[in-house]
Amino acid sequence: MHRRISFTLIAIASALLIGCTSHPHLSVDEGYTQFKKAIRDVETSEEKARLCEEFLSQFPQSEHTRDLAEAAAYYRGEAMDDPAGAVTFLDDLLSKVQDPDMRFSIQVAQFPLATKIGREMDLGAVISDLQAHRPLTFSEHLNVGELATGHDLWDLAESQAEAASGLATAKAFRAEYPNTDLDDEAVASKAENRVVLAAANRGWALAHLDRNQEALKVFEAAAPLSQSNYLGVPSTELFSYWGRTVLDQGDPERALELLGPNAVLGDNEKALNAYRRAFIEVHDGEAGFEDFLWSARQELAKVIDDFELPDYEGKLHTFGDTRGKVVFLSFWFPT
Amino acid sequence: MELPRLQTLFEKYKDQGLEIVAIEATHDTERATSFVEKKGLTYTLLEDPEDGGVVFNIFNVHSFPTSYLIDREGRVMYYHLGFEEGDEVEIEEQIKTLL
Repeated sequence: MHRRISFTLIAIASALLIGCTSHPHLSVDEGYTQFKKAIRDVETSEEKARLCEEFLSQFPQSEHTRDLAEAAAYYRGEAMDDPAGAVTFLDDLLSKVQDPDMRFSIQVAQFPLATKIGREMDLGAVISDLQAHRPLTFSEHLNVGELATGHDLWDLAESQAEAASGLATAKAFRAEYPNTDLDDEAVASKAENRVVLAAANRGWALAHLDRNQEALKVFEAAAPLSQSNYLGVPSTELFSYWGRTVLDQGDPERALELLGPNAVLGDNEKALNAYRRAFIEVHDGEAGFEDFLWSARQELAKVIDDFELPDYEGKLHTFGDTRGKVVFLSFWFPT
Repeated sequence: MELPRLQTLFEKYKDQGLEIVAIEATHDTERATSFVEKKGLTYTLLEDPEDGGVVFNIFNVHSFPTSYLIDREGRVMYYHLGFEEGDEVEIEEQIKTLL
């Protein structure tokens, strides 16, 4: 209740603000420059949501519609936990936008929030609307498929992953990014990564549709193309999904093998939980799991490469000088 | 933003041998330094002057923030993508296992 009231107040305040400050001949670019400047100076999600919404109210159809609709959905719908307010705002925006690409992005951003407040939205229809104008790109198929996965819409998840796998080629990559600087080898590597991404999602959907044998075939076929990050951890969910599938099928030993790299070095809570379950099944209990995890981690951990970088006073720091300490190393950029 | 929350962890564990190193990938010195000053950060802050040269070429990091936890022998024992409210609890647990 409280949230509704404050949203209304903000809406009124923004309307007043736009009334006072907007210039009738302000171009999109000028408006966007002002927006960029303003958003740097505000800290709260409420203020950020308001700025995105103001811009979109003033310029509903521009090259920024997609990004700012997503940002508005995030700040109001997620960060402020006001999904109803965000859905209402996006409904209003949709009433002013005819461009099919923009409508697609807005509705994709709206879907999880609408679901949260119990409003039915047909994700399949959102896809068909765009397809009436142009085919979806690989990333669009993949993203919508993941959205479907997140909402247990497994048929849709499967069909989107299959469509994505059809675009997992160097040719399709070049068609989507005609101006890319990447050479043939790099494009081939992108295409292989696409194969793995699509296979991971397709296999996972098939497993949920009780088509387990097909799922295993899909996982297995893509596995040789799987790429790893700097730490040697597979950079997609393929092995995590595959391991969870074989665990559900009653092969915890194989699951431990498949889940290992994703589970033990962090940041994949679901893989870790499945890894723990597999351990419990193999060893008839959780005793010894922490030690097992620790030694698996020791085995996989690699020594970090050394490097030298300056601080903001220009003084050079050699990372190796921190040896002997526990270091939390974070890569960031100012937002 | 994660950097101010890391400051709390740094103050709590630095005497037990925790170091925090934050590398800014964008070479936006002005914004970064004003942020650092405003938030009173005292751990090691470095910038990648080649516009992500070290960050992209050595570590192949393309999503931010990405964080590694490194043990006393220099081995990466844990990594963490993103930084949501509450993630510092998990990170603190991981730090404690290595200290």
